[in-house]
Amino acid sequence: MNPSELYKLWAPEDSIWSNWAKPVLFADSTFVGSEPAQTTEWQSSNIAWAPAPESGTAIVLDLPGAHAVWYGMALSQRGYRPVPLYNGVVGPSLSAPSALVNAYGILNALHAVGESLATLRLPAEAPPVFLLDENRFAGGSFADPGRFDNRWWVFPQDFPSANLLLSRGIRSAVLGQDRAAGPQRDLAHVLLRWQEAGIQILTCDVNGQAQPTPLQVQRPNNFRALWYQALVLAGLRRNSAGGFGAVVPQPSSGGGFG
Amino acid sequence: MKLPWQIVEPLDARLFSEVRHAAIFECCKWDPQVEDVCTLSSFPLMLTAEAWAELVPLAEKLANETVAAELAILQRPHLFKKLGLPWTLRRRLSAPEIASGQSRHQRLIRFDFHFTTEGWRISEANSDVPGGFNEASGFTRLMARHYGRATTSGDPTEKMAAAIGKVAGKSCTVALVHATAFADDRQVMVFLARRLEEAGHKPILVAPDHLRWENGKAFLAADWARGPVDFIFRFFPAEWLPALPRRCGWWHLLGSSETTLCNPASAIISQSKRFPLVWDELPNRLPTWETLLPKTLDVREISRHGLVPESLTFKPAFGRVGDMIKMHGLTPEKELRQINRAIRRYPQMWIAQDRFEAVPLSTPSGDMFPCIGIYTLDARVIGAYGRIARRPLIDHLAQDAAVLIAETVSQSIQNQSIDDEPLRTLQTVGA
Repeated sequence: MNPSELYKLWAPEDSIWSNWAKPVLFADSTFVGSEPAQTTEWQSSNIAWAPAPESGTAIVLDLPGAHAVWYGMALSQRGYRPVPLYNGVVGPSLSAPSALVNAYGILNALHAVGESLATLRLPAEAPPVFLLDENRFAGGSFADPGRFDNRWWVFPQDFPSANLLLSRGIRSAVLGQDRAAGPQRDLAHVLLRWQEAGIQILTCDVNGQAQPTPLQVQRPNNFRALWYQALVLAGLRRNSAGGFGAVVPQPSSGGGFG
Repeated sequence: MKLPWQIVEPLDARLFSEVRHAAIFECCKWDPQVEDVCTLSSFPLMLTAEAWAELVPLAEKLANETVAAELAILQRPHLFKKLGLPWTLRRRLSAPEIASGQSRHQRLIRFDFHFTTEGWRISEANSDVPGGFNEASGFTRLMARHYGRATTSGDPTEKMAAAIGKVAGKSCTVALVHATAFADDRQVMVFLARRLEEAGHKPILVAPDHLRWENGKAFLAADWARGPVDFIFRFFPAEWLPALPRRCGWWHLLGSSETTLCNPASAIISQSKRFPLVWDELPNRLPTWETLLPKTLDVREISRHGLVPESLTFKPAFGRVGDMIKMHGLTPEKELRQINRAIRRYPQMWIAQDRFEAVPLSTPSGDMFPCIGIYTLDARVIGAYGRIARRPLIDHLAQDAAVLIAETVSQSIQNQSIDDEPLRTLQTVGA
């Protein structure tokens, strides 16, 4: 299986959510010819907390490493469509010993269960489960000299808008985390937009048995600020260049058009 | 006035879906979706051969004028402050070896053209780190396959790879310097790396802090790559260089490097939107720039010229992808307030520019506003790609469009002019 074929398993043409599946992790990797490792790890994932797919609920899984893939796969058995939103690269080599974020484990998991997912023949309108890596900032640590920086953030533009979700019958969204500690700072920008548009936000600890509880998303710094994305991207550039320091409030130049 | 383009049918949904998938995996187009918008256009911008023949010499003249003006400004460090450059860059750019080193390096620039009621105009030059190779070379090639009676405007990535080989030799080591954590930049570098490999070179993808310097020559010090470098392709904005650790010797990238650069970071001089504000102090005029760029003012001089803000576009000196642009009637009220505050606080970092009337392109889904980015490498045109937007502002919601050149022009289209379309709304554009 090559990266293109694997991506098609996770973003099939007939799913209404496939356009949001991020290709970065698939396209920047090479595992041509390798056989996926067989795994049943996902079958032990606890999804008792998940609402019924017909309830008009989207799920955002913000879990460490490959866990969101396992939970997403388990939820697909219930009728949800997993949508990988991993926006980071593996690194200079697949083993990537120097990469700050271990994306290799996620890629392996996507590879391992891709064919099983395709056999489910989920309906085109199956509600989405957006898959994220909780460790995408690598703990905000400094990058040692010589290491490969593959940290990433999510932006509201990475998700469907609230209007589009509502038009598809999505009225609530559950944030699934390891400990229901509230959304990470980048995700808060997304969820608060949804909340303001009338989508109910709930949260749950995916390891527990409790049902999701309502979450009032607090206003993050720079919410809807005109320069929010520019600041964060500038920060990523700065990060990539050796330090996870404060974001400098200066708009960046760059390759953009216009 | 003749329209410079032909209207063509979009690809059907199935075919376009295949093109989109191929763009992702063959051309490293990793950001094909922004919120609810597909970032790729299902139809090309089909320029007439006549229009392309008009644009090529304009872009080449602009490039020649830009490089000459940059050199003249480097020899006049007192102008740096007026450009809005941070003090660290001002200090480093004053070193005489920056100006004397310019001829060693390659200059890649993309000029953004708009067709207006007064003919072609430019909104800016992407002089520092012009991107878009994936779209200009890869996506354009994919689209061209489906439009038989058209050609592409060239393959800038292939030309770039060939030019690197010419300067740095066969099988050279090329450091592709970028922010590795930023997928939007990474995709451009991976695409270029593939083409360099095809050309027999050895591309290494690194961040700027993986560079070290010895006697002005660059070396790699990454976990995955070490040793000398023959050529540096920089895709890291110049204004961020001062934030780098001293150990990486970032100031060599300004132009004093003995290792050939593309681009030297002194390109920030013409990347600044305040570039036109120093033209009067240069020994030579920039006639093409003066004709094609709308009149540009320091925001503190608006009232002295008897102008009203509503008639102007406001841009930050180092804006990006249409961010932070203020246009009356287009910028939402809340954003207007934020921008006004920024202008009041840092007027020396902004410019005001006359607006121009952009001619929209009729498409099956309504009028769209096109912008054509033309690449020059050492003042020769090497290709182009377009962006189209539903509103007259080319920002992050604009779509990438292949620019194709029509081989033949049908009689009905040839005679089409903007006067034939009285219902069209001409709108001022910002970018």
